Amino acid sequence: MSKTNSKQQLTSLLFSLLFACTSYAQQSINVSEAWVRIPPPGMQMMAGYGTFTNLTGNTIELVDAQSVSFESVGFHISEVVDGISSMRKLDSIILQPDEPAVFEPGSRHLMIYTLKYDTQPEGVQIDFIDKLGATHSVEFRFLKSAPE
Amino acid sequence: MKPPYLIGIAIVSAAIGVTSYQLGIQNQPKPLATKIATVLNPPRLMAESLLVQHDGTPFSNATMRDKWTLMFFGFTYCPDICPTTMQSLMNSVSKVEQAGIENVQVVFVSVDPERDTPERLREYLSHFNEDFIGVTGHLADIEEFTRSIGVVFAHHSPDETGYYAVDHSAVILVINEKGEMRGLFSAPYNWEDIADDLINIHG
Repeated sequence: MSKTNSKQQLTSLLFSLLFACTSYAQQSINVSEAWVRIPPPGMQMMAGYGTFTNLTGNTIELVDAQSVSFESVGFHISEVVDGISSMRKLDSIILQPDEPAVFEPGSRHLMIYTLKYDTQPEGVQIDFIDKLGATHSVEFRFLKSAPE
Repeated sequence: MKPPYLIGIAIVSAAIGVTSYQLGIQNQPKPLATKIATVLNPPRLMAESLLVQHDGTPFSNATMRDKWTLMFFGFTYCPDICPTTMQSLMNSVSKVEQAGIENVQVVFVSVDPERDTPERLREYLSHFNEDFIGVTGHLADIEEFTRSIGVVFAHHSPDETGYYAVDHSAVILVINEKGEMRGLFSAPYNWEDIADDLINIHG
């Protein structure tokens, strides 16, 4: 076997692996009704919501979230305990198979800082990274309130 | 043996007592049947404050006279609970107005005066409803006002980005047209129940 053929085969194998990983990541999570609340003028903080469904038979732990459109994205939860509303950061989100994880106003949400564009786009992509390093990309729409 | 006239007096007195008691009960206001609101009977006077509205004018009990007020406490840098509540109040007020009640206003009292300047409050509230009133002031004055009505808040330490959250009472006060606290909504609440109860309490 020539050196060139070996290189081609290796490159082909790497691309196949990359494609397989991407396909796995794309199909392993579904987020329905994914939306980001349109922030009031001058406001740089916003929250994102949606229902995450793990389509695999294995537990997926999301450990990070990022987006080219925002300065940062994180996992947070709002709670009302004894009449007091508070918010705290979550280190990760565990998605069990067939157990949708709901992110909704007043509960778990994506804490999003600073849109990088001057004009607000209709939608943005947010990438979720799981504990194994796979990336799950989700499109979020900008809405003023929860989708009906 | 007691004379018969004493027994007669006792019977008449008892009858008068029972009748008076029954009349007393009838004269008491009937408790309002609400979905989620707690109604205060009697209404509670609101303390005066040294706070200011987002247009720079003083915020006082006079601001609340002749109107029914829904008062919420929060901060504009709150990304979840506060905008969700303001959105709910926007929908509630719309439903109440559709029911023919025009004298309802919403007051948002900031518990984060360092970031929530009057100008910032104006910008923030105009996103929901141009008529919503923002209230802010010196931290000590906000503390005094909230303490007087049983509302609490506490600032968190800033994170690595400098952002800090504020824990606060998740309550919406209902203040009547005399400037008295007439009731309250405790979380969780939804805009339809708020509207229905307000229509009921307003009468």
